[in-house]
Amino acid sequence: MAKRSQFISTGWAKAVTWILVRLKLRLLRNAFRTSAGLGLLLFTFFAGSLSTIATVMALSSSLENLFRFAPVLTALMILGWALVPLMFGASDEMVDTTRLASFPLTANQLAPGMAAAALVAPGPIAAAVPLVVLAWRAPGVGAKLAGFAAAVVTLGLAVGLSRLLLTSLGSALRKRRSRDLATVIAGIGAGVVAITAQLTAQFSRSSNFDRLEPVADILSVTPFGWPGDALARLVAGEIVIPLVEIAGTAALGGIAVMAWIKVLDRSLTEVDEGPEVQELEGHLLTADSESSPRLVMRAVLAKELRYMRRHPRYRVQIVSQAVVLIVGGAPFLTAIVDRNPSAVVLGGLPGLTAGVASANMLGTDGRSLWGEWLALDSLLLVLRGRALAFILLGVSGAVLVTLGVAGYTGGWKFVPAGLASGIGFALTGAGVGTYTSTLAPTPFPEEDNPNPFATGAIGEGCLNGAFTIAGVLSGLILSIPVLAGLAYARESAAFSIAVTVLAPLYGALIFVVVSRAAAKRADRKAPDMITSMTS
Amino acid sequence: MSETPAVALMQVRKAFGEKVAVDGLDLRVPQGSFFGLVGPNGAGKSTTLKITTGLLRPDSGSVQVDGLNVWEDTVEVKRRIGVVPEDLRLFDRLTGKELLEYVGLLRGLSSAVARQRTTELLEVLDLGEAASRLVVDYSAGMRKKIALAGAVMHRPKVLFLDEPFESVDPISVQVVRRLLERLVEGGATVVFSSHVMEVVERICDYVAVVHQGKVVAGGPTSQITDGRRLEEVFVDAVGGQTKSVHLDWLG
Repeated sequence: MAKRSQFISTGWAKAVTWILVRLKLRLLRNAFRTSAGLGLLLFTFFAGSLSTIATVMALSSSLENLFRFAPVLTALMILGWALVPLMFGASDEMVDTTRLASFPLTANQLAPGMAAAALVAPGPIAAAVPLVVLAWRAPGVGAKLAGFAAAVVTLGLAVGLSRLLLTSLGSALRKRRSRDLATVIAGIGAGVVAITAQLTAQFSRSSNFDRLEPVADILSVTPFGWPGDALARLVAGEIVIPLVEIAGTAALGGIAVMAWIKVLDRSLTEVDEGPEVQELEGHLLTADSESSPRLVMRAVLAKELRYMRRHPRYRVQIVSQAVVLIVGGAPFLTAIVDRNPSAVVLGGLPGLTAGVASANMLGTDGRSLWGEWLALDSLLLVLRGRALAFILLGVSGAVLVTLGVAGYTGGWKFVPAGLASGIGFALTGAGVGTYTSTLAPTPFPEEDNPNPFATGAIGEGCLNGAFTIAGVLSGLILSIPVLAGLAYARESAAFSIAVTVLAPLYGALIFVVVSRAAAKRADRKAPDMITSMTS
Repeated sequence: MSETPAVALMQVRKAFGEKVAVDGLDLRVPQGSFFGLVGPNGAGKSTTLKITTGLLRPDSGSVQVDGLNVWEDTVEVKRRIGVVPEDLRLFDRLTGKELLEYVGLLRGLSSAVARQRTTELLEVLDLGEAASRLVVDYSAGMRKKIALAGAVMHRPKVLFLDEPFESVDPISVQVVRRLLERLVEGGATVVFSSHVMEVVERICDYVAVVHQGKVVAGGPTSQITDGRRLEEVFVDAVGGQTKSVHLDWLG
């Protein structure tokens, strides 16, 4: 056996932390040797832009505005950090404990390293900058130090909560008994983030953030707003209440970390997903010469709907995205805030985002794409059949939002235009989604992954997110004629009728043309895509 | 041979919902042996290996490795064993060299020792030229070899391998085999599962046939086979019968 002297005996937990941080740095660096590097770059740009805006606001806001801005900043930071990875495959491979489970390390030894590694990324650094700037604005050395402590506990709570959610929900999704609960929690979480983000955007329109005050007041009394409120108070020269708020946040962060360690310990001895997930794998189409295109497309649609319902991770993604598009969209919030009946005309917009949610439809199949490619002359039917599932999802969302907003505002006369545009938007979005899905399909996080929230590599989720955002923008651009028609439909009955008749036809045209282009590309690039998803 | 077995499983049971994967399994692996675990698909081999290596908690039963209870001294057991699991989840965005060095460090080796063993293992396993390539770009056989290298870096007392020869070319099989034999000569125990009966028959001095979560035949290979081929013993033990084929549409 190896001599004991070969082993590092002292400060082992510290050594493990340092090893895991170095490991994360290597993974980040190596991401640039793969397509995931582009995703990482795009995410860094996105996070850097948001950070710059927040930093400028932290530097230049008046004291009064700081009390409105800082609690919202920390709440969005903590909630977004914890909940956004549930909606997209945006976490990294270090969430997956199976890669570390065979090492002689306890959860207590691993947790500090995994937490530290979570902080080594562009996102956390971007998040830290405005917090540090706020701390720096506090008068006196003592207040500055307290401010830095507030920044630290904000990041600590964000990391602790995020890892607790990802690890516990990841374990829960693998068990039939707790799968539904995990899906509901993810859906509620997505709704909280969506509403908070949208309300913030809605209330931030005025130059002095005075409309943001009610949101800030609510968040200030929640643990997520405590550190922000503490920072604002420190800048104002207060000390007692901020210290209590910082201590409270630290205590909550500590509880989250301890709970995470407990769940982590359990997950280290549960690396097998059991047989039931396996049942979902494989859905190959048969190369039957008697199969008609209609039958093939129906089979693909049925498979996709089954997949959405049964696949644990897919279900969480679909539910949370559905919640976001329904409660987080512009029409819903315009209706709540202004009670404007004409908001109903935008009720169809969720159709667009749901359609674009298909932007990684080939990635969700991962390596089994080869079966479909071999079985069919063209992937056109596969792309269209799967897109239909997203169109159904989008139209359902559009119907819900349109009718909900009409009921709340009384704008029933706008319902036909809202519903028709919803169909058009869903078709347009799905058309764009089919094309986007052929650009850089990323394997779905958990196809054979014991932690359903861990992506294959750092940056893959970012890349997927970037393509989804690009898809939404392209969808919006393609939808300009319908949006313009809707703008006039608020005032003109003729335009309302025109939109009702033409929007679905326009959407269908976009869907047919773009999905054909997507299939052309997919047929040509399928071998490369299969290779990229298999490796 | 020492009296304490390298691995001892007693009445181990594990179910996933209604599906019983391991059903009161008993197994003793002698120290210093080359032990083969064979069985049909879904027999419970992989689940048994995961339970034995501390990666999956059994519903009941006792599991000991090198005299230690796996579920009471999990960390100490993990320190003494090496594992190459079937699903092979690696940090595959590291290069082969980086991966092995990190494995060594996480195993508690000093940097110098980890680096030295990395170089030697890459060379022996014919991965020297691929050392600076990302593991994600490795072939399936190369992934098996790099995982094996990671599993033996700390000179484990017991090495567990799940289907180690799957996807590995014949030349690499020889290389891997020599490495495993070297490990056994040094006093370690190697336990592996496989579908390839010829390989098991050729290199294992002990074998156990697992079927429906139980050991249905086990002991020294020569005694189990008793002049017959292992494949015949296997088919007899699991009650295998060739089903008649009625798929007329196949032509």
